Amino acid sequence: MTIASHVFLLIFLPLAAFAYYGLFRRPRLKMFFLLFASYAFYALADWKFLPLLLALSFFTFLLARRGWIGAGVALNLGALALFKYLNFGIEGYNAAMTALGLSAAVAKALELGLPLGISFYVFKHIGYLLDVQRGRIPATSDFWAFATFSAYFPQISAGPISGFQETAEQYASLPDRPRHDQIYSGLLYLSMGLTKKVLIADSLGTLLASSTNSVDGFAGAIPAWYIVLAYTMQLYFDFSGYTDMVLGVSMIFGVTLPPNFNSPYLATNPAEFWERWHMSLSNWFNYYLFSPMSRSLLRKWGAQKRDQAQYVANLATMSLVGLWHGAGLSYIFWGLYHGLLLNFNAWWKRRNINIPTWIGRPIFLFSILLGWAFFMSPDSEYLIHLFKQLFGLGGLGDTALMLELAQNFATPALVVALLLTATGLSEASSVFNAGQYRVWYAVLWGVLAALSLFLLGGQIQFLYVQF
Amino acid sequence: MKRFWFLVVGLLLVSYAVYFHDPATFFTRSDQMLYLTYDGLFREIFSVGILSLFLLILGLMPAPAALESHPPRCAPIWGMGFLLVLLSLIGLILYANPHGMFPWKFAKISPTISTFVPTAARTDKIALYNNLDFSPEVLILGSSRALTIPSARILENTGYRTFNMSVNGGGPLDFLTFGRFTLSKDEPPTVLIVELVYPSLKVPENPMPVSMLPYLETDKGLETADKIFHDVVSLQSISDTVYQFTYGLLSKRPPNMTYIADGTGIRVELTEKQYRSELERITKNVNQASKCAALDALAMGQLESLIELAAQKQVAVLFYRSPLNADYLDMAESDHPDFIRCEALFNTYMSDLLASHPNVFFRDLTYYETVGALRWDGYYDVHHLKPLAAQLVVDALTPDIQKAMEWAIDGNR
Repeated sequence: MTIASHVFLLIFLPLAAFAYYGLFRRPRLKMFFLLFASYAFYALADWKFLPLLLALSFFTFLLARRGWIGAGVALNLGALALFKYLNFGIEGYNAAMTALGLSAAVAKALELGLPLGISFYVFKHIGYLLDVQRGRIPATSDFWAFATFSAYFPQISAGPISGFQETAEQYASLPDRPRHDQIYSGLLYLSMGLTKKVLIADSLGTLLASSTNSVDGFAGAIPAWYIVLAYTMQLYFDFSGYTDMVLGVSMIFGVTLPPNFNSPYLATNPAEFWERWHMSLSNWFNYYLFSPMSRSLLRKWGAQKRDQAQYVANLATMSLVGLWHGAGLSYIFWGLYHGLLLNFNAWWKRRNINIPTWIGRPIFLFSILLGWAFFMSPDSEYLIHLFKQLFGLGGLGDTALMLELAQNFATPALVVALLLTATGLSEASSVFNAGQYRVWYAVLWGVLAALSLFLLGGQIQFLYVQF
Repeated sequence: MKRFWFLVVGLLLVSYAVYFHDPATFFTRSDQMLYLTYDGLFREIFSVGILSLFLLILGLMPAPAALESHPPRCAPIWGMGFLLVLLSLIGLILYANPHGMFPWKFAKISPTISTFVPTAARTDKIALYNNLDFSPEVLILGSSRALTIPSARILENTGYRTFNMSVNGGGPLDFLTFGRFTLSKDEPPTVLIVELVYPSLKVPENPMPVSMLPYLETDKGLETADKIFHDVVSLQSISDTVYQFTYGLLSKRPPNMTYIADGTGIRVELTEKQYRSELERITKNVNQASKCAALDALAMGQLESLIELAAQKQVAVLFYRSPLNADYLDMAESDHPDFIRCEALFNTYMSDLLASHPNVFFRDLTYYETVGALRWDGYYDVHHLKPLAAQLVVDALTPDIQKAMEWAIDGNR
């Protein structure tokens, strides 16, 4: 079960919401219900790994209480490494052994599977442990609040990654009865997210999952740019659509989660892009990795090497951001590429070079598109082919293929995606304001959500759930 | 300025739909549909419609205003819009029941749709079985290859009343489920004739109708319930509901397949040109080498469960493989090493079944020349039998039916 499924939206969510408001009044009982619902959601989605989630929550809580922060971080990172990165390491080792002619020494990959949401809840745990270590918050004595924070069902699959304090504080003041404004906001966020997901992201995804997903599937510069642009929009509308749904579901239960997007393609430089794209993750890396690393390097190298410290910290942080997305070289290259973009941007700024926005923004968007070309390539063969086509080495493209792409429903979806992106109306937060309290407007959003449900049911999952 | 761009893109969307889909004549194109569904075309028109609504909502977005002291309670209003559309569409789909998931037939269903949608075909066969005024001694289970096997010919040859329960896309899960269904009756059949398709035994499992839920294992039952739920809230169902309501009004084409009371399928004749085209198309799909894989464990389990269930009820099971068209064999890769390997695996498996289960009988008619050599006179394509060929298959199976019946009646009871 995922958040964008009929079972969740038509059965789980209404039942949970009615039980939450109908059966319980006290915030503590409501929190216990949220914990129960979260474990039920996880079990329905991925029951095999529920014990792992329970164990990691319990031991993280315990080790934080004892002050054994290092052990807690190691435990969480160990679990992440085991389930997400071990096979990547084994593959690398095997490739090295084969290259050295030691084929007999190759190791067998493990069939462990990837626990749902492990990258997200492990980062929440580590953030909590480091906050305790720094004295920002005391170690909580309330295990049930911590367990609810850890497993909270709207955000368990793919974030946003929230801090313990800002989330758990809300558990103490959960609304005793439904607040219409909060529920209405939640429903609007849910409608917007669902529509973005099924109408735009899935339409683009269907095209991208077809013939364009192979080296033989396309040739020429125009189809190649079309594909990269379509992927750029698919990823954004998929993940921001998911986030809108998560925020909306959480609002229905009276819990506000941090936003993840703020029109990232309207950014004018790489640093601003990362302040607008997957904000909860970039804030996490900024707060727990980049800033401490920069400070440490400055202390070691001295203020005269301030620039170098920033460059190194940028590269290290961004390569780990890439690795966080998946165990694969293409993700690491993508991260390093963004590290280089950030360094270039920092170098540029320090020299006070001014470029008009109308020139700077297209150049920046061009560099972002190239980054997604790295990100979307399943292997080096595809990547090389894609880059050759992007830079015109395969000609402009076959007319028949271009006509086929124009005729595909992905094209109107792409045009609408570009329109929403350019006008800044691609986020649920941008369409919600006090003016929305009109009857006709509420009815239309309800109608749109219902119609979108009938488009749901393709095979395309949320892209970020796999990370 | 934003509204101007929304208007431009909105007009582009309408132009796109008009240029590529010609929606004004959309519903008059029923006769051009080969597989009897609007499917992709409808999906795109529906999606363009929703996309336009999305643009309209964002384009008409009210300007930010100071919140009134008592703004209307918009959450219930949202819920009304949501439920109105959701329940109306679901109600319409349930009424039309376009995929035959449910046992009722309120709407006038085109028999053409019914036979092309596997679940609907299953519902139809169950309804026919329940309406029989006799209890069949012989039950035919199989795929579309067995649809035209005439029950009347078995009655004529053996004196045993027969019902043809085969369904298009039928496979081991169908055999087991229909087996459980019929063997649970007061007067169950005595012999089950089971047509097997490919050596691997694996065929895609089509959703079972609601009425078959009690006859499924728990996990299959849950899987089926989930499929039914998703099917009801799907664009495909809206599309097929619209198709169903418009087909009867707009199309004069006769149904491709109808069933008579004893379950035998009557199919519309094809021209020789259509035959050649179908032969070529299906040959590509059923290239024996590519279809031939190791025996499927799940399918084997289902077959063996059926055999054990039949043994408990002292019922004989006669497996047979349907003859292939000589025109097809001329084109197919029957000498492909993978195919030969799989045939050997399959034959070993069937020999083991015969040796270990006294109630099992088997006749392999794959290369039965009397039927295969009929070519265009005996086939609609690669393996779908015309009535003449189907009668010859029954004639070839008659001694085995007799033996199976003897075991069930004399040897065992």
